[in-house]
Amino acid sequence: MHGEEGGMQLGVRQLLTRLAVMVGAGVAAGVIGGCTVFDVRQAAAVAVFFSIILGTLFFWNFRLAIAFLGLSVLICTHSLNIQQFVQSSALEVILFLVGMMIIVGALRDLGFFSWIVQCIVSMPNISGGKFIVVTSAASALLACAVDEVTSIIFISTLIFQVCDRLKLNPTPYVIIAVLCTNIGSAGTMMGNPVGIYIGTKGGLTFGDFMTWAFPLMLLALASTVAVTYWYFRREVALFNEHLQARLARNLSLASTVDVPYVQGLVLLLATVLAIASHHQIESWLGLGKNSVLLIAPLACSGVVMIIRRDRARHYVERDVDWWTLLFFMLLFAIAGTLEHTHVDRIMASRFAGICGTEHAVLVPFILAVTALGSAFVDNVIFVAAFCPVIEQLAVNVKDLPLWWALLFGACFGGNITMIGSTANIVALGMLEKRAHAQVGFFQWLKIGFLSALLACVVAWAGLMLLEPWMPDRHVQLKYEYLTADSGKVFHGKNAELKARCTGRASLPSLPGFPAAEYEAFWLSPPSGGRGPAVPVLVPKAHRELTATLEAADDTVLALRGKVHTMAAELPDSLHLLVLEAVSPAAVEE
Amino acid sequence: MTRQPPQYRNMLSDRQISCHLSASDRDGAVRELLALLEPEVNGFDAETAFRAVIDREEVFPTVIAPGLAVPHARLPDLDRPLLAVGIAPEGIDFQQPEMPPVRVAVLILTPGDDPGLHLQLLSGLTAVFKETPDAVERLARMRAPEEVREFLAGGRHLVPDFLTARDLMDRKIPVLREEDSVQSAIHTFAVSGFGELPVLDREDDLRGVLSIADLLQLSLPEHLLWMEDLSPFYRFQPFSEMLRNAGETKIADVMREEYLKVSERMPAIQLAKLFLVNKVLQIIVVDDRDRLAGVVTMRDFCAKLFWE
Repeated sequence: MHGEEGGMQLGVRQLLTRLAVMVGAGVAAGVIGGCTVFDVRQAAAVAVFFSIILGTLFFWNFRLAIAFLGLSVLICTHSLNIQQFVQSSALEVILFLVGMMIIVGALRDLGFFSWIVQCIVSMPNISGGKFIVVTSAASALLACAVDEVTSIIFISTLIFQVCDRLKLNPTPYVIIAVLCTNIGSAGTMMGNPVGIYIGTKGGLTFGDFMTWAFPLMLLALASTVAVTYWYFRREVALFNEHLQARLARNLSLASTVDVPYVQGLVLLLATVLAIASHHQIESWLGLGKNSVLLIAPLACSGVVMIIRRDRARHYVERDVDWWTLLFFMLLFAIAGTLEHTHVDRIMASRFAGICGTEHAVLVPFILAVTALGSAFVDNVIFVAAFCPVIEQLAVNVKDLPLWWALLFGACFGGNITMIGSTANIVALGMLEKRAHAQVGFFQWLKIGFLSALLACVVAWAGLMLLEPWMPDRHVQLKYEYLTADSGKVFHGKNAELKARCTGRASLPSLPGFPAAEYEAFWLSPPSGGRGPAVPVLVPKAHRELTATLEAADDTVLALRGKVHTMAAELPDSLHLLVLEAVSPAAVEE
Repeated sequence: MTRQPPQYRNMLSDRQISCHLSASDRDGAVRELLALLEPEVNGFDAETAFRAVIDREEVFPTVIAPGLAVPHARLPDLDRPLLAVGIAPEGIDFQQPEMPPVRVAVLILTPGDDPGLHLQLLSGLTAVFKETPDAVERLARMRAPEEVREFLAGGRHLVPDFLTARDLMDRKIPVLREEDSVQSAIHTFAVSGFGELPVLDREDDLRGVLSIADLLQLSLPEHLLWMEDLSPFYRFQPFSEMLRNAGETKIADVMREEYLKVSERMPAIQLAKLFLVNKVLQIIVVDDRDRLAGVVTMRDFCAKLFWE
């Protein structure tokens, strides 16, 4: 994911060389793109984005400075304006992460993590193998419940503590835990910043994650535990030997004490429950998609900060990693430039050109590209750049398998190298500090690559098997995609789009849509102006839909329905939308 | 501050040696030795020097070997070290009842801004006495100052250029044995007053260290420290298991195998750095065979440099 020394200890010459490579490669990418497929604004966006990727690789400690400068370049080259910056910076994702970090701080204070560790060290009939499997599962599930970095900090401390007692080198056991943590982080949207970002961008609910991602994560976890257990079988045997020798002398791994856990467990369950039930609450209250999901951690942390008011400032100032969050915010905004400048469309068309629109090719391709990319570059950068491309691809194919492929690739790919994820870096830092143990790049790569490969194969097979059962969701379409000028074909695609209704339409006879059963209206672009008109058909049986369209009075509506392509009958507009719903809450000014 | 340490042969003249100290008590002996130095330095304030030597003697008695005392003091107005040697065949009461009467007294006065000089001079002197085990007896029998000067300053022993760990370490420290129980370690800590002790194996090889902080950590593991409120443990519940098993648990089970150790020859200033950078209060000193030679505690280190 990023360079371990981050540029702080570099000599001047080395620093300048890396800086020159970073800027040079970025400019070269922009110039080559500009001379071939991109215009000036697109070329600037690509150049800055490429520089940031290299910047995080070469100068991890300067990543925020590079992001600030990159943003300035984008603004000055008209590639991004302030309004677009604010729109793309995914403040909702940042606030979600802030809320989760505050809750993690409170959970630590309340003894929740102490309780987990205490349960593991004092479990009955403990053996070496049992300890390793339970620790692996706990690190993955804790990553699901809170986040991967929190999980690995607490689980690593547990491993250090136990290895101190058993006089063992903790390195192999920490590696097993980290690999499982990265796998676990794909299970829910709380596990990894990319999870919530993908969830927000793809309109995925907590339920979607639990239905599709979580079971596949469990399978991948089982494969990772199995392969790491086999790979480190000698170390596991040694662990068991030392443990049994200690137990034979009636010595335990830690003091047996009752750690109070109820408050912490209640807080965690309340948060997870609030997040899990977001879809129902949004439906009851008529709120926009994922709005409750994003504010649930904030609401829970708000309650925490009132109850534990003496610690509130500590949570906000010390437990929230503002540095990383600011970096993410800028990264999202810079990645958003790729969307604003339509680089994503070009990338998506190239992608579709290479892979076609078959899931059998797209899924493994996305998995492999994101996994390999995330092994060296921050997975958030990769996902931020890929999301608009998936959005583009989703207008033609069923999008769920693609989103899951992106999620699994980004999370599992972090296992490949020792710099592949923040959890790896944190764990290795702890290992170096606590046990003075160094892990070599290739030492990690052997087991990291093996486990990531296996997990990706499991995910691939799982996605291919589940793909027929995944719903073809309503994809967010831009109005202009439906016009004949766009040259796109979306026949049979479930879609959502924003448009204005400009009045009733009189259409020629359309096969499959008898005039007696449907009312026709004209739509116009949501931005106003006189763009090309697109027809929408409303079943007469749904009087309330007709009434809403008639009463719309040129306001912007959120329309949901199925797109039909009729090149022969509708040569001017090409597409037709058969309306299924207009959510009142989705009507925006 | 003195850059090159002066050697005894340059510092000690026959005028600074008395082979017949008449005093029978410590104060009288110190006054006699100071009187020898008065003609050597213009404006020498013997009374101030006397007070400084006695004040220091009250806190840190300086009878370093049977029959040998090295009273010393640092004087702010002094610009060079001064030495005076007194022989008392009848013996002087240096107010240390556990030691025999002092028969050889070496007074060392050093400039106030040189913290290590008196220790360097002491190190040079120690080398002479180490080489000749009956040095005190032989000196006590000498009746001519030139004979005393030749014995102390005429040899090959030099005042070292700088202080080393060997000059500052405490050699008489209790040790723990790895096969012993934690219970015995608790007892040793309680009676010795040391915060950290070396652990040796049956062959007297150094195996690790154990500190009272390690025992505390054993009782209260790190995962319990994550909790902000320790009210569930107000009655020290986590300690009970450690105490219950203290008789069964071997020191080898809980000792730290990674610790700071330095060679006897390490310059003392490096020790100061190690204390500060590693935030430790004690450093193990090993000899050339990597065996335990002694321990330098930060307290002793500072006491010797700042106060003694």
